[in-house]
Amino acid sequence: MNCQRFEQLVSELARGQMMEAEVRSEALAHSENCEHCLARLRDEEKLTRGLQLLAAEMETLEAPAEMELKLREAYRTRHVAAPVAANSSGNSARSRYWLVAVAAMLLVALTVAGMWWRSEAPQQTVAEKSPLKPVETPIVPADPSGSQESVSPTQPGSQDVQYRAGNEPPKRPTPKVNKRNSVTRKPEAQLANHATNEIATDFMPLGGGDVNAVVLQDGGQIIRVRLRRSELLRFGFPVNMERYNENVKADVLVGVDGLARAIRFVQ
Amino acid sequence: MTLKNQFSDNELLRLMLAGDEDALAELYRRRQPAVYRFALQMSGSKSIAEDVTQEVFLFLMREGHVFDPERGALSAFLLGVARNYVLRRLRVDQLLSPLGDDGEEDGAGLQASIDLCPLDDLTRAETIETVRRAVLSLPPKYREVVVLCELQDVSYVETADILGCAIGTVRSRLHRARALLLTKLRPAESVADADSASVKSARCFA
Repeated sequence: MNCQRFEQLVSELARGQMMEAEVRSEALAHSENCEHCLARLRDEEKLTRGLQLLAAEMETLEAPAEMELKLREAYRTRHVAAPVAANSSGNSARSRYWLVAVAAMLLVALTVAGMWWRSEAPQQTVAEKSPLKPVETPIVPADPSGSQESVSPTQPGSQDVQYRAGNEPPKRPTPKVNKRNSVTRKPEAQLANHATNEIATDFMPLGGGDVNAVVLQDGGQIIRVRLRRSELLRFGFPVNMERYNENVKADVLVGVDGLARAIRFVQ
Repeated sequence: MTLKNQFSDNELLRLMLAGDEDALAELYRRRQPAVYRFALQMSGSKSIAEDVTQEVFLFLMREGHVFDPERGALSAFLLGVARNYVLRRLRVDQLLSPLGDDGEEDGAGLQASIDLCPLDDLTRAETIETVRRAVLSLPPKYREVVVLCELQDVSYVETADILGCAIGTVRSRLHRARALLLTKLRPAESVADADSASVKSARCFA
Protein backbone atom coordinates (compact mmCIF):
# COMPACT_ATOMS: atom_id res chain seq x y z
CA MET A 1 0.00 0.00 0.00
CA ASN A 2 1.40 3.41 -0.87
CA CYS A 3 0.09 6.96 -0.35
CA GLN A 4 -1.56 7.17 -3.76
CA ARG A 5 -3.46 3.97 -3.17
CA PHE A 6 -4.30 5.15 0.35
CA GLU A 7 -5.64 8.43 -1.05
CA GLN A 8 -8.03 6.48 -3.24
CA LEU A 9 -9.35 4.58 -0.27
CA VAL A 10 -9.31 7.16 2.47
CA SER A 11 -12.87 8.46 1.89
CA GLU A 12 -14.29 4.96 1.89
CA LEU A 13 -12.24 4.14 4.94
CA ALA A 14 -13.43 7.19 6.85
CA ARG A 15 -17.06 6.64 5.90
CA GLY A 16 -16.92 3.03 7.04
CA GLN A 17 -17.89 1.74 3.61
CA MET A 18 -17.72 -1.95 2.85
CA MET A 19 -14.40 -3.10 1.42
CA GLU A 20 -12.24 -6.14 1.46
CA ALA A 21 -10.90 -6.86 4.93
CA GLU A 22 -7.37 -7.32 3.60
CA VAL A 23 -7.42 -3.96 1.81
CA ARG A 24 -8.77 -2.26 4.91
CA SER A 25 -6.10 -3.67 7.16
CA GLU A 26 -3.37 -2.70 4.67
CA ALA A 27 -4.71 0.87 4.52
CA LEU A 28 -4.85 1.17 8.28
CA ALA A 29 -1.36 -0.24 8.56
CA HIS A 30 -0.12 2.33 6.05
CA SER A 31 -1.74 5.22 7.94
CA GLU A 32 0.05 4.11 11.11
CA ASN A 33 3.36 4.35 9.34
CA CYS A 34 2.63 7.55 7.32
CA GLU A 35 2.00 10.76 9.22
CA HIS A 36 0.45 12.56 6.28
CA CYS A 37 -1.91 9.72 5.43
CA LEU A 38 -2.89 9.46 9.08
CA ALA A 39 -3.76 13.17 9.08
CA ARG A 40 -5.73 12.69 5.90
CA LEU A 41 -7.65 9.89 7.53
CA ARG A 42 -8.33 11.99 10.62
CA ASP A 43 -9.58 14.90 8.48
CA GLU A 44 -11.81 12.59 6.52
CA GLU A 45 -13.20 11.13 9.73
CA LYS A 46 -13.89 14.61 11.09
CA LEU A 47 -15.63 15.54 7.89
CA THR A 48 -17.69 12.38 8.05
CA ARG A 49 -18.68 13.20 11.62
CA GLY A 50 -19.59 16.72 10.62
CA LEU A 51 -21.73 15.46 7.76
CA GLN A 52 -23.35 12.89 10.03
CA LEU A 53 -24.17 15.64 12.52
CA LEU A 54 -25.70 17.70 9.76
CA ALA A 55 -27.67 14.73 8.49
CA ALA A 56 -28.89 13.92 11.99
CA GLU A 57 -29.81 17.53 12.57
CA MET A 58 -31.92 17.61 9.44
CA GLU A 59 -33.30 14.12 9.77
CA THR A 60 -36.48 15.27 11.45
CA LEU A 61 -37.17 18.09 9.04
CA GLU A 62 -40.34 17.75 7.03
CA ALA A 63 -42.48 19.88 4.83
CA PRO A 64 -45.10 21.96 6.67
CA ALA A 65 -48.28 20.12 7.54
CA GLU A 66 -50.47 22.47 5.51
CA MET A 67 -48.75 21.28 2.35
CA GLU A 68 -50.48 17.93 2.66
CA LEU A 69 -53.82 19.74 2.87
CA LYS A 70 -52.97 21.76 -0.23
CA LEU A 71 -51.97 18.66 -2.11
CA ARG A 72 -55.10 16.83 -1.03
CA GLU A 73 -57.17 19.76 -2.20
CA ALA A 74 -55.34 19.83 -5.51
CA TYR A 75 -55.79 16.09 -5.81
CA ARG A 76 -59.51 16.36 -5.10
CA THR A 77 -59.89 19.15 -7.62
CA ARG A 78 -58.04 17.15 -10.18
CA HIS A 79 -59.96 13.94 -9.60
CA VAL A 80 -63.31 15.69 -9.45
CA ALA A 81 -62.54 17.53 -12.66
CA ALA A 82 -61.27 14.39 -14.33
CA PRO A 83 -64.55 12.40 -14.11
CA VAL A 84 -66.48 15.49 -15.22
CA ALA A 85 -64.17 15.78 -18.17
CA ALA A 86 -64.54 12.07 -18.77
CA ASN A 87 -68.33 12.37 -18.59
CA SER A 88 -68.38 15.37 -20.85
CA SER A 89 -66.14 13.59 -23.28
CA GLY A 90 -68.47 10.61 -23.04
CA ASN A 91 -71.45 12.85 -23.65
CA SER A 92 -69.77 14.47 -26.58
CA ALA A 93 -68.91 11.04 -27.94
CA ARG A 94 -72.52 9.97 -27.54
CA SER A 95 -73.66 13.24 -29.12
CA ARG A 96 -71.35 12.64 -32.05
CA TYR A 97 -72.73 9.13 -32.34
CA TRP A 98 -76.28 10.39 -32.46
CA LEU A 99 -75.39 13.12 -34.91
CA VAL A 100 -73.82 10.57 -37.20
CA ALA A 101 -76.83 8.31 -36.80
CA VAL A 102 -79.26 11.12 -37.62
CA ALA A 103 -77.15 12.20 -40.56
CA ALA A 104 -77.10 8.64 -41.85
CA MET A 105 -80.87 8.36 -41.47
CA LEU A 106 -81.34 11.64 -43.32
CA LEU A 107 -79.05 10.45 -46.06
CA VAL A 108 -81.01 7.21 -46.41
CA ALA A 109 -84.31 9.11 -46.42
CA LEU A 110 -83.06 11.51 -49.07
CA THR A 111 -81.79 8.63 -51.17
CA VAL A 112 -85.13 6.84 -50.94
CA ALA A 113 -86.98 10.07 -51.76
CA GLY A 114 -84.71 10.66 -54.72
CA MET A 115 -85.28 7.13 -56.00
CA TRP A 116 -89.03 7.53 -55.53
CA TRP A 117 -88.94 10.87 -57.32
CA ARG A 118 -87.06 9.38 -60.24
CA SER A 119 -89.50 6.50 -60.45
CA GLU A 120 -92.42 8.94 -60.38
CA ALA A 121 -90.99 11.25 -63.06
CA PRO A 122 -91.73 8.97 -66.07
CA GLN A 123 -95.34 8.55 -64.89
CA GLN A 124 -95.77 12.30 -64.91
CA THR A 125 -94.39 12.44 -68.44
CA VAL A 126 -96.95 9.90 -69.52
CA ALA A 127 -99.67 11.90 -67.81
CA GLU A 128 -98.56 15.01 -69.59
CA LYS A 129 -99.01 13.23 -72.91
CA SER A 130 -102.50 12.13 -72.01
CA PRO A 131 -105.17 14.14 -73.81
CA LEU A 132 -107.22 14.23 -70.66
CA LYS A 133 -104.53 15.90 -68.67
CA PRO A 134 -105.31 19.51 -68.02
CA VAL A 135 -102.80 22.26 -68.34
CA GLU A 136 -100.30 21.70 -65.65
CA THR A 137 -100.29 25.30 -64.69
CA PRO A 138 -103.53 27.11 -64.47
CA ILE A 139 -104.30 29.66 -67.03
CA VAL A 140 -105.98 32.39 -65.16
CA PRO A 141 -107.45 35.62 -66.34
CA ALA A 142 -105.52 38.75 -66.16
CA ASP A 143 -106.37 40.97 -63.30
CA PRO A 144 -108.29 43.89 -64.72
CA SER A 145 -106.96 46.13 -62.06
CA GLY A 146 -103.52 45.42 -63.32
CA SER A 147 -102.18 44.75 -59.89
CA GLN A 148 -99.14 42.57 -59.81
CA GLU A 149 -99.26 39.87 -57.22
CA SER A 150 -97.00 36.95 -56.93
CA VAL A 151 -98.24 33.47 -57.60
CA SER A 152 -96.89 30.52 -55.71
CA PRO A 153 -95.70 27.72 -57.89
CA THR A 154 -98.13 24.88 -58.34
CA GLN A 155 -97.41 21.63 -56.59
CA PRO A 156 -97.28 18.78 -59.05
CA GLY A 157 -99.39 15.97 -57.86
CA SER A 158 -102.37 16.48 -55.62
CA GLN A 159 -104.08 19.36 -57.38
CA ASP A 160 -103.60 17.78 -60.77
CA VAL A 161 -105.16 14.56 -59.58
CA GLN A 162 -108.25 16.38 -58.38
CA TYR A 163 -108.38 18.30 -61.61
CA ARG A 164 -108.18 15.15 -63.71
CA ALA A 165 -110.96 13.62 -61.73
CA GLY A 166 -113.28 16.35 -62.89
CA ASN A 167 -113.54 18.13 -59.59
CA GLU A 168 -113.53 21.80 -59.28
CA PRO A 169 -110.07 23.12 -59.71
CA PRO A 170 -108.58 24.32 -56.50
CA LYS A 171 -108.64 27.96 -55.77
CA ARG A 172 -105.43 29.65 -56.64
CA PRO A 173 -103.92 32.73 -55.23
CA THR A 174 -104.40 35.92 -57.16
CA PRO A 175 -102.31 35.48 -60.27
CA LYS A 176 -99.46 37.62 -61.34
CA VAL A 177 -100.36 39.60 -64.45
CA ASN A 178 -98.08 39.20 -67.39
CA LYS A 179 -97.64 42.51 -69.06
CA ARG A 180 -97.38 40.92 -72.47
CA ASN A 181 -99.95 38.20 -72.19
CA SER A 182 -103.40 38.31 -70.77
CA VAL A 183 -102.78 34.94 -69.19
CA THR A 184 -100.01 33.94 -66.88
CA ARG A 185 -98.26 30.62 -66.89
CA LYS A 186 -96.49 29.31 -63.88
CA PRO A 187 -94.06 27.87 -64.00
CA GLU A 188 -92.77 28.91 -67.34
CA ALA A 189 -90.33 26.06 -67.31
CA GLN A 190 -93.14 23.61 -68.01
CA LEU A 191 -93.54 25.17 -71.43
CA ALA A 192 -89.84 25.32 -71.95
CA ASN A 193 -90.05 23.39 -75.20
CA HIS A 194 -92.26 26.09 -76.64
CA ALA A 195 -91.46 29.20 -74.78
CA THR A 196 -87.70 29.18 -74.46
CA ASN A 197 -86.36 32.18 -76.32
CA GLU A 198 -89.71 32.63 -77.97
CA ILE A 199 -91.97 35.63 -78.24
CA ALA A 200 -95.67 34.90 -78.13
CA THR A 201 -98.81 36.88 -78.59
CA ASP A 202 -101.71 36.77 -76.19
CA PHE A 203 -104.10 33.87 -76.43
CA MET A 204 -106.95 34.84 -78.71
CA PRO A 205 -110.26 33.01 -78.43
CA LEU A 206 -111.37 30.86 -81.27
CA GLY A 207 -115.06 30.85 -82.09
CA GLY A 208 -115.89 33.67 -79.74
CA GLY A 209 -116.19 33.69 -76.00
CA ASP A 210 -113.75 34.44 -73.25
CA VAL A 211 -110.74 32.21 -73.30
CA ASN A 212 -110.04 32.79 -69.65
CA ALA A 213 -113.50 31.71 -68.63
CA VAL A 214 -113.22 28.58 -70.73
CA VAL A 215 -109.90 27.69 -69.26
CA LEU A 216 -111.05 28.30 -65.75
CA GLN A 217 -113.95 25.94 -66.17
CA ASP A 218 -112.35 23.14 -68.09
CA GLY A 219 -108.66 23.47 -68.13
CA GLY A 220 -107.03 22.32 -71.34
CA GLN A 221 -103.89 21.44 -73.18
CA ILE A 222 -101.57 23.48 -75.34
CA ILE A 223 -100.58 22.04 -78.67
CA ARG A 224 -97.85 23.51 -80.82
CA VAL A 225 -98.89 23.71 -84.47
CA ARG A 226 -97.66 25.26 -87.68
CA LEU A 227 -99.96 27.48 -89.69
CA ARG A 228 -99.68 29.39 -92.88
CA ARG A 229 -98.57 32.94 -92.28
CA SER A 230 -101.69 34.09 -94.07
CA GLU A 231 -103.68 32.91 -91.06
CA LEU A 232 -102.28 35.88 -89.16
CA LEU A 233 -104.54 38.11 -91.15
CA ARG A 234 -107.58 36.48 -89.59
CA PHE A 235 -106.47 37.74 -86.21
CA GLY A 236 -105.60 41.22 -87.43
CA PHE A 237 -101.82 40.86 -87.53
CA PRO A 238 -99.86 42.43 -90.38
CA VAL A 239 -98.36 39.97 -92.85
CA ASN A 240 -95.30 40.41 -94.99
CA MET A 241 -96.59 39.57 -98.41
CA GLU A 242 -93.17 38.39 -99.56
CA ARG A 243 -93.31 35.63 -96.92
CA TYR A 244 -96.98 34.98 -97.42
CA ASN A 245 -96.58 31.27 -98.08
CA GLU A 246 -94.29 30.56 -95.16
CA ASN A 247 -95.43 28.86 -91.98
CA VAL A 248 -95.57 30.31 -88.51
CA LYS A 249 -95.70 28.57 -85.18
CA ALA A 250 -98.73 28.79 -82.95
CA ASP A 251 -99.94 27.33 -79.68
CA VAL A 252 -103.50 26.10 -79.74
CA LEU A 253 -105.29 25.77 -76.42
CA VAL A 254 -107.50 22.69 -76.62
CA GLY A 255 -110.21 22.15 -74.07
CA VAL A 256 -110.99 18.89 -72.35
CA ASP A 257 -113.70 18.35 -74.92
CA GLY A 258 -111.08 18.33 -77.67
CA LEU A 259 -112.17 21.62 -79.20
CA ALA A 260 -109.68 24.36 -79.91
CA ARG A 261 -110.47 27.27 -77.64
CA ALA A 262 -107.74 29.77 -78.20
CA ILE A 263 -104.60 30.39 -80.17
CA ARG A 264 -101.47 32.43 -79.88
CA PHE A 265 -98.68 32.99 -82.32
CA VAL A 266 -95.11 32.32 -81.47
CA GLN A 267 -91.94 33.65 -83.01
CA MET B 1 -56.94 3.84 5.39
CA THR B 2 -55.20 2.00 8.21
CA LEU B 3 -54.01 -0.72 5.87
CA LYS B 4 -52.45 1.71 3.42
CA ASN B 5 -49.18 1.81 5.36
CA GLN B 6 -48.67 -1.84 4.53
CA PHE B 7 -48.76 -1.19 0.82
CA SER B 8 -45.62 -0.77 -1.23
CA ASP B 9 -44.85 2.52 -2.92
CA ASN B 10 -45.83 1.08 -6.28
CA GLU B 11 -49.19 -0.10 -5.00
CA LEU B 12 -49.85 3.26 -3.39
CA LEU B 13 -48.96 5.02 -6.61
CA ARG B 14 -51.31 2.79 -8.57
CA LEU B 15 -54.12 3.45 -6.12
CA MET B 16 -53.39 7.16 -6.13
CA LEU B 17 -53.57 7.34 -9.89
CA ALA B 18 -56.84 5.45 -9.72
CA GLY B 19 -58.32 8.17 -7.53
CA ASP B 20 -57.57 6.98 -4.00
CA GLU B 21 -56.83 10.09 -1.96
CA ASP B 22 -55.74 8.09 1.07
CA ALA B 23 -53.08 6.44 -1.04
CA LEU B 24 -51.77 9.88 -1.96
CA ALA B 25 -51.71 10.87 1.69
CA GLU B 26 -49.81 7.73 2.70
CA LEU B 27 -47.34 8.08 -0.14
CA TYR B 28 -46.82 11.73 0.68
CA ARG B 29 -46.21 11.07 4.37
CA ARG B 30 -43.81 8.29 3.50
CA ARG B 31 -41.75 10.11 0.88
CA GLN B 32 -42.02 13.83 1.44
CA PRO B 33 -39.39 14.08 4.20
CA ALA B 34 -36.62 12.82 1.93
CA VAL B 35 -37.76 15.05 -0.91
CA TYR B 36 -38.06 18.07 1.34
CA ARG B 37 -34.68 17.49 2.99
CA PHE B 38 -32.97 16.93 -0.32
CA ALA B 39 -34.39 20.20 -1.65
CA LEU B 40 -33.46 22.02 1.55
CA GLN B 41 -29.93 20.66 1.62
CA MET B 42 -29.43 21.47 -2.03
CA SER B 43 -30.86 24.98 -1.88
CA GLY B 44 -30.45 26.06 1.72
CA SER B 45 -33.84 27.71 1.48
CA LYS B 46 -37.02 26.54 3.19
CA SER B 47 -39.26 28.30 0.72
CA ILE B 48 -37.53 26.62 -2.22
CA ALA B 49 -37.69 23.27 -0.44
CA GLU B 50 -41.42 23.69 0.15
CA ASP B 51 -42.05 24.74 -3.41
CA VAL B 52 -40.02 21.86 -4.78
CA THR B 53 -41.73 19.31 -2.54
CA GLN B 54 -45.10 20.54 -3.64
CA GLU B 55 -44.07 20.50 -7.30
CA VAL B 56 -42.74 16.97 -7.00
CA PHE B 57 -46.01 15.58 -5.69
CA LEU B 58 -48.09 17.61 -8.10
CA PHE B 59 -45.94 16.13 -10.83
CA LEU B 60 -46.59 12.68 -9.40
CA MET B 61 -50.35 13.34 -9.56
CA ARG B 62 -50.08 14.57 -13.13
CA GLU B 63 -47.44 12.32 -14.61
CA GLY B 64 -47.24 9.43 -12.17
CA HIS B 65 -47.94 6.99 -14.96
CA VAL B 66 -44.48 7.69 -16.44
CA PHE B 67 -42.83 5.97 -13.48
CA ASP B 68 -41.46 2.58 -14.49
CA PRO B 69 -40.87 0.22 -11.53
CA GLU B 70 -38.48 -1.79 -13.68
CA ARG B 71 -36.06 1.12 -13.81
CA GLY B 72 -35.77 1.81 -10.10
CA ALA B 73 -37.53 2.59 -6.85
CA LEU B 74 -40.17 5.27 -6.53
CA SER B 75 -38.09 7.03 -3.88
CA ALA B 76 -35.25 7.42 -6.38
CA PHE B 77 -37.70 8.59 -9.01
CA LEU B 78 -39.05 11.27 -6.68
CA LEU B 79 -35.55 12.44 -5.75
CA GLY B 80 -34.69 12.63 -9.43
CA VAL B 81 -37.72 14.81 -10.07
CA ALA B 82 -36.83 16.92 -7.04
CA ARG B 83 -33.29 17.33 -8.33
CA ASN B 84 -34.55 18.66 -11.63
CA TYR B 85 -36.84 21.15 -9.93
CA VAL B 86 -34.13 22.28 -7.52
CA LEU B 87 -31.54 22.82 -10.23
CA ARG B 88 -34.06 24.71 -12.33
CA ARG B 89 -35.00 26.88 -9.40
CA LEU B 90 -31.36 27.54 -8.51
CA ARG B 91 -30.61 28.56 -12.07
CA VAL B 92 -33.52 30.98 -12.06
CA ASP B 93 -32.54 32.41 -8.70
CA GLN B 94 -28.94 32.76 -9.82
CA LEU B 95 -30.08 34.72 -12.84
CA LEU B 96 -32.29 36.96 -10.73
CA SER B 97 -29.91 37.51 -7.80
CA PRO B 98 -27.78 40.67 -7.78
CA LEU B 99 -24.13 40.25 -8.66
CA GLY B 100 -21.80 39.57 -5.71
CA ASP B 101 -24.44 38.13 -3.38
CA ASP B 102 -23.21 34.56 -3.63
CA GLY B 103 -19.58 35.36 -3.06
CA GLU B 104 -20.37 37.52 -0.10
CA GLU B 105 -22.51 34.94 1.61
CA ASP B 106 -20.70 31.74 0.73
CA GLY B 107 -17.13 32.94 0.78
CA ALA B 108 -16.82 35.61 3.42
CA GLY B 109 -19.36 34.15 5.83
CA LEU B 110 -17.95 30.67 5.64
CA GLN B 111 -14.40 31.89 5.81
CA ALA B 112 -15.16 33.92 8.93
CA SER B 113 -16.58 30.95 10.78
CA ILE B 114 -13.68 28.79 9.70
CA ASP B 115 -11.13 31.35 10.73
CA LEU B 116 -12.66 31.72 14.15
CA CYS B 117 -13.41 28.10 14.75
CA PRO B 118 -11.36 25.30 13.32
CA LEU B 119 -13.32 22.08 12.91
CA ASP B 120 -11.84 20.50 16.00
CA ASP B 121 -12.90 23.31 18.29
CA LEU B 122 -16.41 23.91 17.02
CA THR B 123 -19.40 23.22 19.15
CA ARG B 124 -21.95 20.85 17.77
CA ALA B 125 -24.25 23.58 16.47
CA GLU B 126 -21.37 25.52 15.02
CA THR B 127 -20.03 22.41 13.34
CA ILE B 128 -23.39 21.71 11.79
CA GLU B 129 -23.75 25.25 10.55
CA THR B 130 -20.21 25.32 9.19
CA VAL B 131 -20.63 22.02 7.37
CA ARG B 132 -24.01 23.14 6.06
CA ARG B 133 -22.50 26.29 4.60
CA ALA B 134 -19.60 24.35 3.16
CA VAL B 135 -21.95 21.93 1.47
CA LEU B 136 -24.04 24.77 0.06
CA SER B 137 -20.94 26.40 -1.34
CA LEU B 138 -20.07 23.35 -3.43
CA PRO B 139 -20.80 23.39 -7.15
CA PRO B 140 -24.17 21.68 -7.77
CA LYS B 141 -22.74 18.53 -9.35
CA TYR B 142 -20.63 17.89 -6.23
CA ARG B 143 -23.25 19.16 -3.83
CA GLU B 144 -25.85 16.70 -5.05
CA VAL B 145 -23.64 13.66 -4.52
CA VAL B 146 -22.76 14.84 -1.03
CA VAL B 147 -26.40 15.42 -0.21
CA LEU B 148 -27.49 12.08 -1.57
CA CYS B 149 -24.63 9.86 -0.45
CA GLU B 150 -23.64 11.56 2.80
CA LEU B 151 -26.75 13.31 4.07
CA GLN B 152 -29.53 11.15 2.63
CA ASP B 153 -27.55 7.91 2.91
CA VAL B 154 -28.55 6.84 -0.58
CA SER B 155 -26.49 4.04 -2.08
CA TYR B 156 -24.14 4.63 -4.97
CA VAL B 157 -26.40 2.62 -7.23
CA GLU B 158 -29.47 4.67 -6.43
CA THR B 159 -27.50 7.88 -6.62
CA ALA B 160 -26.29 6.92 -10.06
CA ASP B 161 -29.88 6.18 -10.98
CA ILE B 162 -31.09 9.54 -9.67
CA LEU B 163 -28.33 11.52 -11.34
CA GLY B 164 -28.41 9.49 -14.51
CA CYS B 165 -24.73 8.69 -14.50
CA ALA B 166 -22.39 5.75 -13.89
CA ILE B 167 -21.53 4.53 -10.42
CA GLY B 168 -17.89 5.32 -11.07
CA THR B 169 -18.85 8.91 -11.75
CA VAL B 170 -20.67 9.04 -8.44
CA ARG B 171 -17.60 7.72 -6.62
CA SER B 172 -15.21 10.14 -8.26
CA ARG B 173 -17.51 13.10 -7.73
CA LEU B 174 -17.96 12.22 -4.10
CA HIS B 175 -14.25 11.91 -3.63
CA ARG B 176 -13.69 15.28 -5.24
CA ALA B 177 -16.55 16.83 -3.26
CA ARG B 178 -15.11 15.66 0.03
CA ALA B 179 -11.75 17.06 -0.90
CA LEU B 180 -13.38 20.40 -1.68
CA LEU B 181 -15.25 20.33 1.62
CA LEU B 182 -12.10 19.68 3.56
CA THR B 183 -10.44 22.58 1.83
CA LYS B 184 -13.35 24.84 2.70
CA LEU B 185 -13.52 23.68 6.30
CA ARG B 186 -9.83 23.77 7.00
CA PRO B 187 -8.58 27.02 8.51
CA ALA B 188 -6.18 29.08 6.47
CA GLU B 189 -3.25 28.00 8.64
CA SER B 190 -4.21 24.40 8.36
CA VAL B 191 -4.51 24.79 4.62
CA ALA B 192 -0.94 26.03 4.54
CA ASP B 193 0.13 23.18 6.77
CA ALA B 194 -1.75 20.75 4.60
CA ASP B 195 -0.05 22.12 1.55
CA SER B 196 3.34 21.62 3.10
CA ALA B 197 2.25 18.22 4.31
CA SER B 198 1.21 17.31 0.83
CA VAL B 199 4.64 18.28 -0.37
CA LYS B 200 6.09 16.02 2.27
CA SER B 201 3.64 13.30 1.45
CA ALA B 202 4.79 13.33 -2.10
CA ARG B 203 7.91 11.76 -0.83
CA CYS B 204 6.09 9.39 1.39
CA PHE B 205 5.68 6.00 -0.19
CA ALA B 206 5.69 3.97 2.95
